[in-house]
Amino acid sequence: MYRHFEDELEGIKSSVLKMSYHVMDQILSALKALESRDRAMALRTIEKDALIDEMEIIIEEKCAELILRHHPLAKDLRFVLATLKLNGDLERIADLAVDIAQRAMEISEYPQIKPYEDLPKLADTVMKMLKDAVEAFTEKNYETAKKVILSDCEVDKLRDRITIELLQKYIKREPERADIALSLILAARHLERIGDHCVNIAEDVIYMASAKIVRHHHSEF
Amino acid sequence: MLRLDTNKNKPDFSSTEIRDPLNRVHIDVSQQPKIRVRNLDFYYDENQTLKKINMDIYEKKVTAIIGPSGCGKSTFIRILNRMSDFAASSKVRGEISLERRDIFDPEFSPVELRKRVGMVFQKPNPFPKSIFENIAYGLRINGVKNSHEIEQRAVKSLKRAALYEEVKDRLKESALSLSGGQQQRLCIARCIAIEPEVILFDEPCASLDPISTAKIEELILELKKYYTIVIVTHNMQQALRVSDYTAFFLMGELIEFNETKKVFENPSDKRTEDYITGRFG
Repeated sequence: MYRHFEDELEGIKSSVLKMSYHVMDQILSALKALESRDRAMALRTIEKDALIDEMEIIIEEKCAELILRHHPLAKDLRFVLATLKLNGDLERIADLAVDIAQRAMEISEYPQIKPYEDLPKLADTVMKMLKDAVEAFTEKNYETAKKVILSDCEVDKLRDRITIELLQKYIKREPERADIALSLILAARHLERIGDHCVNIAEDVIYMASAKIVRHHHSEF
Repeated sequence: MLRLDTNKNKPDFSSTEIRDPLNRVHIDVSQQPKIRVRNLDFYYDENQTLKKINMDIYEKKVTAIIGPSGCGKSTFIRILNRMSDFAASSKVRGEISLERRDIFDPEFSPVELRKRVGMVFQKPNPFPKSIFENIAYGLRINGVKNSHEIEQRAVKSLKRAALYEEVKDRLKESALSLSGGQQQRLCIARCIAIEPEVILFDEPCASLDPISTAKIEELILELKKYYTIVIVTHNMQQALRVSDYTAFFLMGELIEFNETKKVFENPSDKRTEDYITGRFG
């Protein structure tokens, strides 16, 4: 019985990992489409979202079945509760990758307005947060999860810098390029929201690892 | 039963903290516990079945005792009303107080103790008498002579045990004609009729079907409004459903004692975690 239960827990963990790799792939693909204004790649990214939606449902069903059959307790209960929550966050991150792909489609017909500087930095920071959040989940690592939460300030700063620059340089001074600038502002906003979901995942990992609920209490770090 | 009274000092009632064997502070409450157990050792012949148990049992709360077979949980609750006195060659050492009164005090008779600390067993054990007599008999041997009072208290107990509506028209029928679940509730009514302060349940649902189990669990939650309850159970979900505090025993030791939510969500001791998650052994 115990061995079967362990296998089921491992199965859920593997599914979450698999889903997270697909989600990372979706973000990278959307960012590449944005950078190269590649409409076809943006479309492929949007189409692949259905696969992630399906994975989310499968993981939720596996968690529900595990609760039903095994009544998990202690660290197993915390694992299932955290997984159910981060499963939703991963799915929302994939939706945001779709949003970025849509922004890529919007700007694909226009020439690039400026060399991207802060946007790649923002993308790198957010991708690192996601990788760390997933690593923290697999290793039940409190410290890595904490690092993810603390990275969120940097993401907010970069998002603000991008917004102010595009607003002042393009939307106010060159209204004819306001559409492109607005799409890029939104793309930065989507990346920042991905960062927020990474923070949620890290909070769930902290609960899973220590039973501490740190949501809304980051100042205690 | 021989009591080894090596510790002449009375238990320290000034502290409101209780520590586990690893000296971690678990509970710090201002309320005085109903029962205090300090440094309790118990032996059958030369075998020590309980080792240095320190634990507080709080008034009008449900305390669940969990642990694998043979860990000493039933032995422990049987000491709380000195049922363990009946075991030959047993020895007890340490302190147990019921509302600050040492239960081993020679002036505290076991009969008086058992009136205040009642017990319900694993298998329903009604007397081979009528439903009514099962309750009336206990009252009579405890000195209640007035038949009107006996009737009143019997009805009140049956109501409190959530059995009255099912048996009110057949109180004169044999108690043995009742179902297992009804018999167990009759035993609870018999226990309640004596007006105890504490009720000890030793796996009360072990021989019952899920519906009868649910009724007994509902009843326990209702009874804690009036009584302090200690329940030994092998069923983790039952401990979670009914108890406020949980104690985990292993090989005669109290490994962990804390609020039930804490024990089942984030136990402090790896042995507790291994047991409740089924990784024991």
